[in-house]
Amino acid sequence: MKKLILSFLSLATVICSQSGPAQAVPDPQFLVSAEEELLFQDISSVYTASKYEQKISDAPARISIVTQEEIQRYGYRTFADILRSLPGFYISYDNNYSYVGVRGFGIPGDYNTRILMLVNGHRINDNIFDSVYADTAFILDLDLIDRVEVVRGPSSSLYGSNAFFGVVNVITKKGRDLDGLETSVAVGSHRSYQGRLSYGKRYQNGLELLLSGSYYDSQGRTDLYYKEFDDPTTNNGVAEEGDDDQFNNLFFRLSSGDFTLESLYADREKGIPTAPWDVEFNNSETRTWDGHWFVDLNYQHLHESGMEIAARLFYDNYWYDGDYLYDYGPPSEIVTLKDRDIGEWWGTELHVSRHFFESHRLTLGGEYRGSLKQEQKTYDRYDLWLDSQPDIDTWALFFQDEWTLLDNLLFNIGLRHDNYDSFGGTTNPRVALIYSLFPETSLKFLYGKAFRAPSTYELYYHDGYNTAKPNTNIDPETIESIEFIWEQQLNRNLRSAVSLYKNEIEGLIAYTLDPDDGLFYFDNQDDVEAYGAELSIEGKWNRGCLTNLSYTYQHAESKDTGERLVNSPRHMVKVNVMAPVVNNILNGGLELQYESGRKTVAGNETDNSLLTNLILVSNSWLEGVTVSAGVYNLFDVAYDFPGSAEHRQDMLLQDGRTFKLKIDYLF
Amino acid sequence: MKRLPHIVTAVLGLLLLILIMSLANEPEVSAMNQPLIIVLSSSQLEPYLQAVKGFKKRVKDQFPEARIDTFFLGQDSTKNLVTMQKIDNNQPDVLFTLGSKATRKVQTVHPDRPQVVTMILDGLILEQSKQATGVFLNFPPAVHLNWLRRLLPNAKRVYLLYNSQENSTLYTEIKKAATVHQLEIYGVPVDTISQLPAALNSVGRQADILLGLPDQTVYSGKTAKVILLSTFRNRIPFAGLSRYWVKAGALYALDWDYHDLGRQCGEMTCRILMGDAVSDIAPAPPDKVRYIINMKTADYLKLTIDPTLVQEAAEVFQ
Repeated sequence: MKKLILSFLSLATVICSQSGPAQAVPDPQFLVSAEEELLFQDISSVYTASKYEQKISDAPARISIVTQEEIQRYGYRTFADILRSLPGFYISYDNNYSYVGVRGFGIPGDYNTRILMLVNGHRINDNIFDSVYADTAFILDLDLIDRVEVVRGPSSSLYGSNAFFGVVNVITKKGRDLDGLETSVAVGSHRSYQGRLSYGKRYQNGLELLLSGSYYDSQGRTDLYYKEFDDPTTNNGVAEEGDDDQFNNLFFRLSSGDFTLESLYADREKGIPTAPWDVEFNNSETRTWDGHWFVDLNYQHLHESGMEIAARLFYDNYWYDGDYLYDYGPPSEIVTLKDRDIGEWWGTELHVSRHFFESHRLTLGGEYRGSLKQEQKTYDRYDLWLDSQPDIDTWALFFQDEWTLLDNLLFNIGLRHDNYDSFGGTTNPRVALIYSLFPETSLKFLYGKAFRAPSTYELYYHDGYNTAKPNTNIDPETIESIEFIWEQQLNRNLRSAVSLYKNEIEGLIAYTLDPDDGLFYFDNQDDVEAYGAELSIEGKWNRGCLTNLSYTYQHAESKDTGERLVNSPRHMVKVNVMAPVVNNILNGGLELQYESGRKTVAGNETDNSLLTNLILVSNSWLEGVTVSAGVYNLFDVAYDFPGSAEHRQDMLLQDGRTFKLKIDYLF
Repeated sequence: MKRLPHIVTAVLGLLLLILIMSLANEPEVSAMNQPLIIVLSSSQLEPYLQAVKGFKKRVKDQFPEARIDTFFLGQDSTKNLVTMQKIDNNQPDVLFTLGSKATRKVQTVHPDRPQVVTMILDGLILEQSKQATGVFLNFPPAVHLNWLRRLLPNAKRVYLLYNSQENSTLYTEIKKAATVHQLEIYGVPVDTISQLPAALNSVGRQADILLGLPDQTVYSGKTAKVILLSTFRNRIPFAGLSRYWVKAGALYALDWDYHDLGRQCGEMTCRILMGDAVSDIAPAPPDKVRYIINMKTADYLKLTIDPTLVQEAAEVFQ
């Protein structure tokens, strides 16, 4: 290539020297860098660079990365807060679970089954609901996150099921990041208390350890008013108790050389104040318990030949318990209906990557997940309504080729075949063309297909055929997506991204009524079309000043009826500003989030909302001490999220102004 | 006895002949009143100017009458052509070149003239010409490891990224030298830039330090940011290649006393002017070693650097 350039320039030199006088012609030798120049040239500072810029611009997708610094500076309290800050993402909350909406698609009551969540590459979605938690049941204390990488768009060609709208990979801190003992305490509104004790170290023999435990307890709101229950028999619509929340997290990570052993444990108990599924209102015994733990042995090795090998062996255990209190009367008889679900699975993965012919980087891989338990039970004191214990194993094979066509043109193709014991096989491709028009300009053209396998819950759930029946003939729902991305480094400080996309979903799995027998069941229903645009501008300035501005337009509708989807705001504007204040003693984080209204299940629309969060952080007062104070929904704006089908409430009023004070101490 | 005068005459004649021959072979310099030295530099950056300054001082100390003509190359090929013509029109006693571009250009114009070279990275250019010697920028492996030990006494697993076709000898030398310092050296071959991300991942998992040594494939303006960011994110100390790398975020780098590099080259030049054959003057590494530290990076890595070493550093970025 250099020779070609030189030849071209030599020719150009000759032509120029003949055609015109007195023009400064570059010396070809000076266009080829000399060996010693790498010692004497200016290099951009790591302190002002975007830490993951390369990763973002080279990826065959639109990627957002949220770092620990941002998590701390913006005072994010739950994982949902992190996702909500990103273009194209929005959240709803029903005082039990948080639901993640992506690119206009957020079916109320969908347990986040259409995003794939990974922690250090380990799949978190469970094997009963295929769900992930983004609320206080999230598997990891946010303080232990190093960064969150969010890949938008279908990625089943690499990750299989659930990588439908995107993949969220949470990268944890390592022992070296703490290098000692760290403790954290926090207090907040609704009598919330949180504590954490962590120890991390990288020893001289190369062993690296991180051990952490967290505890959280909150009384929750005691003044929740629901007009739908405004009756003297139901405490005039006021739920005085039942919004309590407790969780425990444990994290263990040990690595040495190419091996990493890690384990995560999380359990949460949450009261449900909204009285879903017509349970007794204002009864704090209606509640859920959710938990997940796993152990994962990971091996990564770079062979001298340049071949990368990554292997993983894991075991996961998941449980969900629910107590729902019903009045079986008259005469009044309060009975607890119990859900007891247990999932257990193990699996193994192997990925091998290698360069071929200099221009190809080929990745081959395979995965196997074996179910040990997928048990769903529903019972009360009188009967066992549901006792389902299927056993669905899956395996997959995939390949990906990154083909460097030119220095500035990359072609990425991936294909994956997944096989499920339940419905059989599915094959999903993805292609991407990444063109660096200029060093500062990157254009990406993406096409991909993805699927979501029907969950065990959707296949087998019933309540003794009282109101619901199982359906084992559900096909996977699929998405076909095209996207164009334009990423531009505007100047030294500013970077912008524009993304235009169109998604077509076929065979959406939804809860429906069989008119023949009057029973509810899950089945492939509507086809959905969604399109939209995301614009974001990120700024990184000296002295730790960061800005993020994004605008999202999204439109999602049923292809069958043409109706706009429920729980889908059309416009979102997000502004994040992080800047040092008061001579670097304090750092401020300001977050503004505007959302247009969302259609509700009953066909109404929630109000537009503009929320403001303000966080102040200081680590200059005492050595090793970081103090942060945050006020959320600063202007006490009243705003609602749409309720789900199980709620009598069409809209659920969210928290007003709340606060949190947190102190971290690194010994 | 009759033969004695003949023998004496013959011996005296022989001695006279030897004397004449030796006088005839005496370098021109002894007969020269004003030796001519041409200096050609690839750059006008401060380090190059410092080296030229050090060179001139050393030569002038011994040969005050010497004429030293200095030229600089630039981006403009026409100007460079004029410069090279000027050099070509002269018959210098010694050529002093700084940087590989100047060195290569001079070797095409005056391949048979003695040449002293510095501000180059390896001895390859010197090996190509029997008339060249000089001081290259590479520090010997033992020097690198010695400073690494002093600055980071707890580091054990030292990683090197290198092009196996270009730098396998260097890797072997470093590995050999490491035994003395009780360091473990792990080399990760990076033969094309595309292999760099995987190599950096491997470093991130296992290294105590990434030792940056000049390598055309691994370290360039194109890869600098990726390497610095990767080591930064993984909290791996990175021993950079020069002051500029440290300023950008590397933990430390060995650096040069450029004036002294010039002095060393001046000394070699004087020896040539005094009559030593170029082939008798072996190319040498720099006599003096300086180091530069970035304390902001040290703080981020949670490293404690011996305060004495910080004080003695040639430059400290805070």
